[in-house]
Amino acid sequence: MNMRKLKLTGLIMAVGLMAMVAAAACGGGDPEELDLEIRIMEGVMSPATIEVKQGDMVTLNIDADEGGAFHLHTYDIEMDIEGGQETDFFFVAKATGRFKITYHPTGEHDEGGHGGIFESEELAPGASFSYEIDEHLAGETVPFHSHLRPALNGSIVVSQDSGRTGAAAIEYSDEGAEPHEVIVDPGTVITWTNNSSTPQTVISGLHSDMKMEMEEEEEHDEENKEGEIEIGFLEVQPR
Amino acid sequence: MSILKILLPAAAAAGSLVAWPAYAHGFGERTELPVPLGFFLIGAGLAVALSFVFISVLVKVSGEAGYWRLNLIGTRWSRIALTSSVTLLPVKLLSVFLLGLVVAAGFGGDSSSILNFSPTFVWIIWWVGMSITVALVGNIWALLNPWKIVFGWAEGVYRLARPGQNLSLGLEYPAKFGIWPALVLFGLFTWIQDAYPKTDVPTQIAIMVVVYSVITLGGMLVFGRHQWLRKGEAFTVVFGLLTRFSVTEVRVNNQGSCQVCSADCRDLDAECIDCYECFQRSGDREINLRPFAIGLGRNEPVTNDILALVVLMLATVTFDGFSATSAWAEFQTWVVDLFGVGGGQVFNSLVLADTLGIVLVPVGFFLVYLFFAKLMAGSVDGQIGAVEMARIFGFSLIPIALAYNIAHFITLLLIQGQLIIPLASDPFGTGWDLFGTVDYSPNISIINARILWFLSVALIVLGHVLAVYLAHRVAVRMFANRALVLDSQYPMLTLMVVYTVISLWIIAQPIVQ
Repeated sequence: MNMRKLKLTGLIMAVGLMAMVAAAACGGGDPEELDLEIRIMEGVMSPATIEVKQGDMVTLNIDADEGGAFHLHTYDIEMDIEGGQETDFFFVAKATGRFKITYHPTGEHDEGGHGGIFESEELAPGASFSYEIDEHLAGETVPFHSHLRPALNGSIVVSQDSGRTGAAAIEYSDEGAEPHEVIVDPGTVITWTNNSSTPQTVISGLHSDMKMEMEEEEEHDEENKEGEIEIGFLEVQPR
Repeated sequence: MSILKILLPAAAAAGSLVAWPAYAHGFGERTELPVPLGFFLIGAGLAVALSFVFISVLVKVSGEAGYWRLNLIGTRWSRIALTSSVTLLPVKLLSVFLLGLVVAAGFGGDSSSILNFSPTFVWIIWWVGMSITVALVGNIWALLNPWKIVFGWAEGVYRLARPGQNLSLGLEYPAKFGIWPALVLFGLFTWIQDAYPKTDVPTQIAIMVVVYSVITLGGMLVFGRHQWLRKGEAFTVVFGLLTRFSVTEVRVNNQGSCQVCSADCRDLDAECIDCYECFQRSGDREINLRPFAIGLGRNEPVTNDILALVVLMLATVTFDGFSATSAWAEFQTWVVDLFGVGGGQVFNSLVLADTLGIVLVPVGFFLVYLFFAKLMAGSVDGQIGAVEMARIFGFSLIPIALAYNIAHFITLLLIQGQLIIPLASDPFGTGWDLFGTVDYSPNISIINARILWFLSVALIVLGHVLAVYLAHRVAVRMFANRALVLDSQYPMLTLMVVYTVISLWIIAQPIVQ
């Protein structure tokens, strides 16, 4: 009697474990290349959970109404998304699990942006560079800096009624950019003159170090921390 | 309740009205997939089927006290390797150094929880890693406890300076306090882990460690090192409970040397097991390999304070997982709807909801357990009261909680735990690279979900079987009559099946945090 029950225990355990091993071993199929459409509208991602299988080569075509940083946790991939256009985000789903996705919208008034509006050649000491402020920049603040010495920086505040049109001058010296901020109307031609002792450039936007500083400040700032929102999950099922 | 309704939101509103806190369970991101329905059903079915077959097999099994042991310090070399102060000193120095590092990095390091050594070390490596190691391998906390080491050193120095005198004031520890101080401290620790919203902030961790150090060293100073460790040092008490499951024990053979310790720690079979003070003092001693879980079935008196700690641990282990399910998120939403968001960073409705959980889940757990204990008492015709039943069989539930705990934490330990590799090179987040590992990026595919599901379910079923076996062993010791043994075990068995299925259910839930 006793032996029979002992055997029965063994049998049940064996059958159960075999069922689980079978479940563990099965599955299969080869990794696929996947193209998935992802929309992020008003801080809501659809679909809320991205489901793929282990090994899949996944391209997310992300369409966001607002630009921002798309962050896939633990995989630890971060990607800057431009608002209003599709951005491709590629990764290989090598690890199984359920991974959080957060989004940090940067908004329209992104002071870290405005890169690529103007950029000078290298300016030898004494040389200068000019740029005419375009109509569409009205109401914006455009930062600039010297790529060769980021400490030389400042910003152009574009207003409609500053009363300053025609021309404005900014001088690079070894101490900094003077004036540090100019307020001008669209159509103004701004001329930078390099009076420092080394070659400089003029480029719109913030230097990446400055951007990082700003982001760090944001991280330390409770209120801005709220700016990072959880928008969903990536689920990678085992194959 | 009506007073609560007024007071709690008032307290909650006391803070400012801005922030919804960043929310974290201890620290670290969970990434495990929920166990699929098939695994859940197989696991639950196995637990039920095995319980009933097992118990009828066990009817013929005796509850003798002896068990298989292998003395690990039986040979000269193994004795030197495992017990000599020369080999142990570096390990102790490292442990004290790490305590100092946690505080230093907490206060002086980067304020980001990812770039700072302290959050990952305290919550993942130490708390999760240490509790699993202590439960499976053996009580390394008795060796590594940095407060114990530091106070021991201080005592030594003091004795050199003033021969014949003790550093400790040596006040009589009031017997009625039992292990309640440790229980209260552990309750606070649990609250911090599961409800306090800033557990991942390095400076907060450093403050907690400093406060706890003051309490612990103070307790040792007032009541004596071993007294406080046994009764008031939360982690010595908690790890001491977990390590009963483990595969090693320390044992003193000479009864005389067991009695001269500051407390007589022999059990009812007059054996001196896992009593570290006696072990230190005695010459006739062993470190034994033993079967898993057998240390939970020893014949010893269980008092109400120990029962309370067992219940608290069983309940909070479950709550830590449950609080990450969507069912709990719904409860949180309900509380928030009831009271409003509530103001501050610490006093808000979300924290209130979790605090309610930490208080109510153990209370609920205790009531359910008491109900089953009453059924057990009834089934043996009231030979033993319900509370006494609860005390006697409490330990036997621990394997289920432990197995669940490992299933619940193993991914966190294996994946997030790897962060300690780069952090070891740059503990302050200031750009050092001490061991050349600062650029290490964790291997996140270290464990496949399918293997993990299998392991988790197998572990929980195994824990369940061990629990059934332990309870049976205790019952055989308690009741001379075989029929009573069996009758008393049906309610216990039902409770264990319920607890196991709840554990399985939780790991089958997607984590929502």
